[in-house]
Amino acid sequence: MGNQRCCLGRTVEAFVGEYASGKTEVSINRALALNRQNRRVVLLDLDTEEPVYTVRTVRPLLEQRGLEVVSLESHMVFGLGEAGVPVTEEMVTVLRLPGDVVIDVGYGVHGAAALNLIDGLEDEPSLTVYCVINAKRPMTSTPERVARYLEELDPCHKIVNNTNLGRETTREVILDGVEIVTQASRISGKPVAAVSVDARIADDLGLDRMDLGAPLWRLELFMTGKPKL
Amino acid sequence: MIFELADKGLRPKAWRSETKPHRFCPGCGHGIILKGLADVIDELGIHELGVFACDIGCSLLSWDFFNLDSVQTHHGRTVPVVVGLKKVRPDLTVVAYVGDGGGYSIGLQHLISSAVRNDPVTVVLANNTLYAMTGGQMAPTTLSGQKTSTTPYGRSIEETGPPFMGPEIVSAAASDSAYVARGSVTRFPELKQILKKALLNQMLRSSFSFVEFLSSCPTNWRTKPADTLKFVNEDMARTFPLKEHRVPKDLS
Amino acid sequence: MGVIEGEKRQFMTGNEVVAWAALAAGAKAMFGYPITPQNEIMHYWTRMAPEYGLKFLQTEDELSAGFATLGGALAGTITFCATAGPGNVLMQEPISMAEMMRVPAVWVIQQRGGPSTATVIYSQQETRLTCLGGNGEGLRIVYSTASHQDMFDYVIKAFWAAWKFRFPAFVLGDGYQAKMREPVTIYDPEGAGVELPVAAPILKPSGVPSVDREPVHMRNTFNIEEELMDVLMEHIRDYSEMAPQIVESEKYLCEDAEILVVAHGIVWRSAKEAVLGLRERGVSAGAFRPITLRPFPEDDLRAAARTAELIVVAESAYGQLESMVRDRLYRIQVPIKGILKPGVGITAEEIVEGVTQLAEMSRSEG
Repeated sequence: MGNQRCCLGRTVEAFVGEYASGKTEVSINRALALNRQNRRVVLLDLDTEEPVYTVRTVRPLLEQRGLEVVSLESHMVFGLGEAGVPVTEEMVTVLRLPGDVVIDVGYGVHGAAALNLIDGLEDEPSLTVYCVINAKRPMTSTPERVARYLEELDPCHKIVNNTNLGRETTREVILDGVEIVTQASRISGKPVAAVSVDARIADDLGLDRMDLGAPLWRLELFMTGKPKL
Repeated sequence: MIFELADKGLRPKAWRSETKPHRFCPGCGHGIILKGLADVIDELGIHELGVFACDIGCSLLSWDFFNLDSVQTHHGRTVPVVVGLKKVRPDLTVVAYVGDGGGYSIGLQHLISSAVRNDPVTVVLANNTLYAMTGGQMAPTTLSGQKTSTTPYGRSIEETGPPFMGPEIVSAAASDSAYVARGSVTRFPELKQILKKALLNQMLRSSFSFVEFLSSCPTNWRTKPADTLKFVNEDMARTFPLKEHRVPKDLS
Repeated sequence: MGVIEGEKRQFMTGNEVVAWAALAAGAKAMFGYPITPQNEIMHYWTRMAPEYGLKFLQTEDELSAGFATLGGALAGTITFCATAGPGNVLMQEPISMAEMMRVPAVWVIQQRGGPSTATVIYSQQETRLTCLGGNGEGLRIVYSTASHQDMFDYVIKAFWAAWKFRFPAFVLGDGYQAKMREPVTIYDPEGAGVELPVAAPILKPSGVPSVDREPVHMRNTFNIEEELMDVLMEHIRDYSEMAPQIVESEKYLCEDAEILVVAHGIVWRSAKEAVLGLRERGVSAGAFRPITLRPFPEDDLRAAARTAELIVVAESAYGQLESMVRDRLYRIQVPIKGILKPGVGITAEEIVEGVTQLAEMSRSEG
C-alpha cells in the first residue's frame, strides 16, 4: 500500500533549521497561504524534541482557519517533556492524505533526518526542503556559520531568510540579514527562496517596495506569548 | 473493536483496553516488550498479586498500560521502590520497568545493590541507546560515534567511556541464584521466554532477575523501518550480545 | 578580546543565553545531567565546546554532576552546573558541601512544577529550595531573573560573586524564561567594564606540597560542637559583610504607593504592567522586586513599603516568596496577602483583579 497517487502537482514542503529560527511560524504561514489559494492543505507537526512553541499548541486556532492539522493533541499526551513527544501513526502516514503537505520539522543534531519518519517521502516527486535561517541568532550570525550549518542539514534545497529581532526588527536588521544570507547562499550554492517578515513590520517598513533579492513572505505570528504545553 | 478482540481472547487479560491504542510511537520497542510482558502475566496468572512500577522517560508512558496496580516513580528510583514493596509484602510479584538512563545511569547503584542483595524482584530494561524523551541526549548505552544532543559530534569513548554492558556487569555482581539475560524486541518468542524465566525466578526461587531488551526508537534515531531493524539487529547486537548471562542451575 | 566582540543584539532563547553568558564570563567547564527544561544549556555548551576549548561531562546523575562541579572549582577552573525540579533537590547535597567548604560554583536553576516530577515547564516553587535548601544556613547568593537580558547579565555576575566571595551562587530562572525567545544584547564583559571571576586553584595551588608550601587539607567534618559553631560564625560573618555589597532590588512607582505588589522572576513583568493598570484606575499602587533573594534586600523592601497600607505578594508558588516577605517585614502593621498560583503563570490582569479583590477584603476587615 503506497501513497495515494493522487494530486499530481501537489506541493510537499518541509521546514528545517536551527532551534527557534522560525520554522513553525513560516510553516504555519505557508500552509495558510496555500489554503488561501483554495488548495487543500495538511500541516504536519513533526517536532519530536520541543514540548512548547510548536504547531500542536495552536492547533485549535489553525483548524478554525480551515487548516487540517496532523499533530498530537496536548490534552491527550501524558508526561509531555518528560516522556518525549511521541510520533503517531497519523503523522507517519501523512502522505496518504490528499492535498498539499507542509511539514514543520523540529530541530536536532540529525538535521532534516526526521523526514525519514514519514512513510513514502523518498518517493514524493515535489518535495522541497527549506532551511529557515535567522541571522540574528548567534550560531547562524555570519555567512560562514550559516554556510556550515546548511552543509550539516541534509537534504536542504532552498533557504528562507527569516532574519529578525522579534518586535525590534528594523530595516537595518532585515538588510543586514539579506546581506549575510545572500553571501551564505553563494558559498553553499543553495538559493534563497524568500525573505520572511512579520507582516506588520513589513508594512510599516514598506518592504514590498524594496528589492530584497527574493520574494517577500509576510508572516502572521502565532508563536507569541509565553510558552505553553 | 479492541473490546471485541479482548472478549474473543485475542488480547491479553493483563492488557488494559481503556488505555489502548497505547501512546508509544510507531516502531517503538516498548510496545513489543509490554505486549510480551502482558502475555506472560496472563500465562503465570499474576493479575492479583502483580505490581508494575515504571521510571521517568518513555517507560513512563506505561503507567496505566496494564490491569495491574502500578506506580510511576522518580528517575532511577524504580528499583528501590519495588524492593520496599517486596520487603513488606513478599507475596507480591513486582516488576520494575526502566530505560537505559534510569537503569544504567542515575539508577545504577540501586540496580547493582539489588543484584548483590539478591532482592527477589524483576527488573526489565529497554535499551534504545539514548534518552529519548528529553530530547535525545547521550545514554550509557549510546554507541561509539553515535550523534546525540549532548554528543553532537559523535560519542567519544575516550571522554565518556564505552557503551555500557548492563547484563554483563549485573551478572558479575549478582549471586548464583539470579537470572540475568539480554534479548531483543526483534525476537519476540525468545523475549517472552526470557520474561517468563525472569518472573519465575522471583516467584518460585525468591531470587533476583534482570533482563535487558535491545529496543527500537525510530523517532529519535530518525530511521526508516528497514534501517531501524538494521540498527537493532546489526549495530546494537554487535555491541550487546544476545544471551542468557546468568541462569540458576535448576531453572528450566 | 573575549569570545564576543563588542556587543550585539541577538534573538535568543533563555537557555542559549545562559550558555553564552557562561562562556563570556570565562567558564571553561560544565557538568550536567538531562532534565527538562534546561537541557538546551548542555546542547549549546557541547556544540560550542570544540571551538572554544570547553570541557563537558554528562555524568550519571545530578549528585555526580554537582560534586564534579565542585571538583572543577577546587582545581581552579571556572565551572558551572544547571538543573531543575527533582534535579535541584538532588543538588542540595553537593551545594551543602560548597557552603561548608566555601567552594565557588554557579548553578543555573530553571524552575518547573513541583513537588516531585509534576510538570516540566514552569513554577516558582524552587525559590525556598534554591535559597535555603540543604542542611545548613543558606549561605548562598541567589539572583532571580525576569528577562533574557537579566539572564545574561546575572549569569556573569553570579560567576564573579561566587569566586570573589566564595559562596555558591545561583541564577534562578524558570522554564518559561528557558524556552522563550526574545532580543538580548550579548557583549564582551571586559569591554563593558563588567568584573569577571578570577579563578585560583583551591586544592592545587602551585608548588609541591610540604616542600614549597604547606599541603592543602580540606575537610567538612568537625568533632566538637563549639568548633563547628566557630567555623560557621566565621562564614556567617563573611556572608554578612558581603551582603550589602551585592544585595539588589528594583522598585516601580513606590514613592507614595498605598498598595505594594511584591513579585520576583518572570512574574515581575506582570507586576509592573499591573501597577500601571491599577494607577490608570486611580489606585495608588507600586511594585517591588527582590533581585537577590539571598541575601534578601530587606532594607529596600522596608523602604518601598513605607507608605503601603496593604502588601500583596504574587508568585507561582504557595507562599514561598510570601513567607520571606513576612519574615523580613515582621512587626509591620500592614496586612500581607498573597496571589498564590503554584505551577501556573500569572498575568497582569490577574494581579489587577487579585489586588482589587484583596483591597476590598482588607477594607471590610477594617
